[in-house]
Amino acid sequence: MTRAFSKSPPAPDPTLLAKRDEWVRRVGLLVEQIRQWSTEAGWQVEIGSETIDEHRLGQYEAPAARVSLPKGDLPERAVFVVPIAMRIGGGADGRVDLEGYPTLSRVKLLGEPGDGWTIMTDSNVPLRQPWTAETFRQLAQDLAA
Amino acid sequence: MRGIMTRQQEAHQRLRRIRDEFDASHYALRRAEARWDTEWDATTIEYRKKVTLGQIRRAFDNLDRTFILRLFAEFEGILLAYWQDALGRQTSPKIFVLINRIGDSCPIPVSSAQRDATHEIRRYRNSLVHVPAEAVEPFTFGVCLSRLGKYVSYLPQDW
Repeated sequence: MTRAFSKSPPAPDPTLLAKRDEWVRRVGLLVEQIRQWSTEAGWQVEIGSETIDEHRLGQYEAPAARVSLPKGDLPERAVFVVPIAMRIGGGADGRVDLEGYPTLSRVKLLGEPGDGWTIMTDSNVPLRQPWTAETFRQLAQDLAA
Repeated sequence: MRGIMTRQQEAHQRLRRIRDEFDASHYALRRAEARWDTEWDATTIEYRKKVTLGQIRRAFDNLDRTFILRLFAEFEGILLAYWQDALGRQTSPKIFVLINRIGDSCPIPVSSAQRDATHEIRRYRNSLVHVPAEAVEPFTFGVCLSRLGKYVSYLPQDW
């Protein structure tokens, strides 16, 4: 007979949990910003959440969104705002993806110190555009084009 | 956010997974190349008995093509499943036929522009596995993903 013993994971470090809460708050601000910019453009937004499971942080929920864009010649076009992780290394403060539908094209938003975001392409080349309403709207349309 | 997936969302998820594996392979190969001269742990030494730096570079150079083949195979699987499950057909036609016939049967028929764009990817994929009779325009993995994703968006949400 074999018997499996599984160790329960160690309780998350309170300092890390506080950082995680701060990260979730920050993603919430981003989602709210995108909702506002999208609404101003006349795009419909659906707010939801994404379940994230991170090493040493456990499982938690973070805000997410789906922005419906003008359909053009396709049955549907949209952009998903998907929080990926807080701990991504390289000095960045978390990652949120913007993914076009149905193209599945994607850019990554990497958190900067403070409340800023760096836009990174899939080839890991930074776009070097400021994170503004205009940049977001252009990106959203390009990602789903 | 995506909740319980519709069949169409599942189909997109299949394509998305290939994209994510492409990214993971890109990362692993770049890292292996960059650390070739500095990494000497036991696992690395074990791998170096069978993998050379030249092989790593070749795998990296061919990464787009390798993953385009996988992506297209997944796309073909999605269309064949739709053909048999949604349209109730017992046959397994060639992908050329599937693209056209399914395109006609969708609730909003696939536009001729999107259909042509999909056939361009099909021709490029064919050129990777057979010697092409004529020159074929090459595409990056990202362009292939985008065009196949667009075609799949014409399928109904559920079937």
